[in-house]
Amino acid sequence: MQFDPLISIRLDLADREYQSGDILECEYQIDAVESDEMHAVEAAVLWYTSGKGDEDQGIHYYQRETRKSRHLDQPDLRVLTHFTTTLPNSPFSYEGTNLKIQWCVRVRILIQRDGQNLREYIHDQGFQLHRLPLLQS
Amino acid sequence: MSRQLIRILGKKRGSRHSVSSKFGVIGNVAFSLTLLLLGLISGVFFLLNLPDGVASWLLGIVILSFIGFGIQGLVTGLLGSRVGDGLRFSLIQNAHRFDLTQKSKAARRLPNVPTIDTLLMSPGNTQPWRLPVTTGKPIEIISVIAFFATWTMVSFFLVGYSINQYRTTNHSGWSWWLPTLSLLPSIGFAGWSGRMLARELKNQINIDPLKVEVSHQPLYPGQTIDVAISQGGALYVRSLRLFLVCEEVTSYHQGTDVRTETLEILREQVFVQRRFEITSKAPLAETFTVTIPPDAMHSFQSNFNCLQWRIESVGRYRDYAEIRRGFSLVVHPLFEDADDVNNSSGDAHAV
Amino acid sequence: MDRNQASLRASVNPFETRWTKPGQMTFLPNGFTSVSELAAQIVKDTPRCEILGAHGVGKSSLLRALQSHLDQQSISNHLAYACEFPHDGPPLKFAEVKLLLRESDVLFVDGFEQLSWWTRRRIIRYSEKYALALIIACHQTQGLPCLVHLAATETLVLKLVHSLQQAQEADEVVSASDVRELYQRFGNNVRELLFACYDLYEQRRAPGQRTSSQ
Repeated sequence: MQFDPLISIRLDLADREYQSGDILECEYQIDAVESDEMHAVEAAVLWYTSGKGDEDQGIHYYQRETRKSRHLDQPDLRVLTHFTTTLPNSPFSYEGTNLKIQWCVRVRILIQRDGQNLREYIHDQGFQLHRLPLLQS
Repeated sequence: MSRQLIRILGKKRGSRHSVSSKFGVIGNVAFSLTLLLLGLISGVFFLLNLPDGVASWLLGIVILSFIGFGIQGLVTGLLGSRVGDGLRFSLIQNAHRFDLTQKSKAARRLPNVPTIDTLLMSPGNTQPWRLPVTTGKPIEIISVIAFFATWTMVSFFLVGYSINQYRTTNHSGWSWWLPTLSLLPSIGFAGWSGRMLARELKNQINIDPLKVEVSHQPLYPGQTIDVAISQGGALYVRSLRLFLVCEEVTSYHQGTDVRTETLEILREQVFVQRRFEITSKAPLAETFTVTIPPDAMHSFQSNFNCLQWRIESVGRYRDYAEIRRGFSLVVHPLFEDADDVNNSSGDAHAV
Repeated sequence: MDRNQASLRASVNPFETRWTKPGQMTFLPNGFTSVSELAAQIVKDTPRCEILGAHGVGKSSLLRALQSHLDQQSISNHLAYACEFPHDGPPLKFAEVKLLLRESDVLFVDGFEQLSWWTRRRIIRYSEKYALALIIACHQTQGLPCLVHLAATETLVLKLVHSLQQAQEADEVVSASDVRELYQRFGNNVRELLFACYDLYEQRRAPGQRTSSQ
């Protein structure tokens, strides 16, 4: 019996509420999978819509690493990896009726275990992107 | 100084015309309609009595050009007039689907927020910005014109053919079935579509469109802006109401089905006036304030979903059907580098 | 694809299109035993046949489910859409279908009626001539043997709504009596029924279940 890979994502703000222009710091790591089973890992900061319409998606930040692209001194794709990005001015998180806009950090891994095809696993960590506090006139 | 209805030489003086603009529209429409009908009638007789040789080609080109200029004059006359605001806006919007504004600085600064296009925004008279009309009936008007032209041509053709048949054949051999079966319906269709066209033109020409001008663009949540409305003409207004509207528009398609749903999430009445008269000496001119709710979501646009803001006017007039028009607004998100809300006013710059 | 969603939102509407669109829900068979049996029948008989059903009854969902079964058995297949919407690309042409028929063991075509009469005839004749497997989804028969005629029963719809709410660990906001009422209204159009469930869920879920992002 094999466990599914465990993808852990941690954001710098515990309440995961950010404002436009904030710097988002993220760390992720992968467990319950062997190093040589890992083919690639991708991390993205993106927004997506949900609700009654088709899903739209906007990728703000993206990085991909494969075994080949890693440094020779650290080829293991599972290790704790850190990245930062400055969050954009729009679109804000939105909880409407037919339309919702959600932000998340998404980590996607491709693994191949013995005798099996390549499989992908995805884990999202949501966060909120807010407006600034109201200006006082 | 009141304007003369008819004046041989009209002059443009600044932003004013010395001749009634309504006369201009009527004249343009009448001229184009005359050209179109002349072309259609000539076309019918041309088809019934085709000349030989080069003459047929030349005559054909002349007749086609009459028809073409007639249709073009009708359409552009309506486009160029105030009534064409909706059509003009729709056409420009369609052109902008292929625009590269997404790569512009404004789009990079505010991803998925509609940009304010200075091509669409014209300076107002009393406020810095005049809002473009986003709803009109352009397709309807063109369809009515096309329908009218088609059935008029068919009717004339059938009349000409019947007369031709009657004259060239023996009367005893004249077949009654063609005129009986086809003339009446086609003349009926032509007459009915002509009535529809006349009604559309009457509505559009006699009712000056409402103009809406705003003090600030873009807008921000919590911001209060001045809105000026104006309307000319000669009308008795039963009621005129303006609303601030926010909608979620979502599209779902799967395989063969496409389903678009528009859900209003805010409708706030911002202006109302009842039972008053608009005359050439006393046009409607009002100014009021509108506040964007502080917790408002900014305008958003993606492939299948959007959130849009607009001002909607609902006018009920004596002797005319209710008229609804929409005026697009763009609400931007508040962020650190945003222009100071109080100063986001009338400089005509792209965001 | 396995996905774990960790979200700040206290509750997700289980009837959002991302959960209900074809390929996302487990297909509940009605009028036949199981999807795997249908898939086995396709593999064994290499048929040219059609899946019939009204709008929104689940033809596209069944095609996706069949595709998934064939994928698991490593049987090459392709799902082509005949529709003409800009965002799906230009309409399917006969030459493309010919190529797909040749390249795959089984070709599924969704929205077969959207193609012109002439293209449809050519595709069917071509697949018959070369004994190629073709499964089409349509509202009205195209003259092929019927693999299955889908219809949504009240029991099936009740099961579906319940499983959707369970899958998202959502409260049973849309009750069985709601579903019965909606079934009376929408009948076979399960898609519209699920949209109505979405609206009901949004209306009824507590304000506290929304996030504070607004």
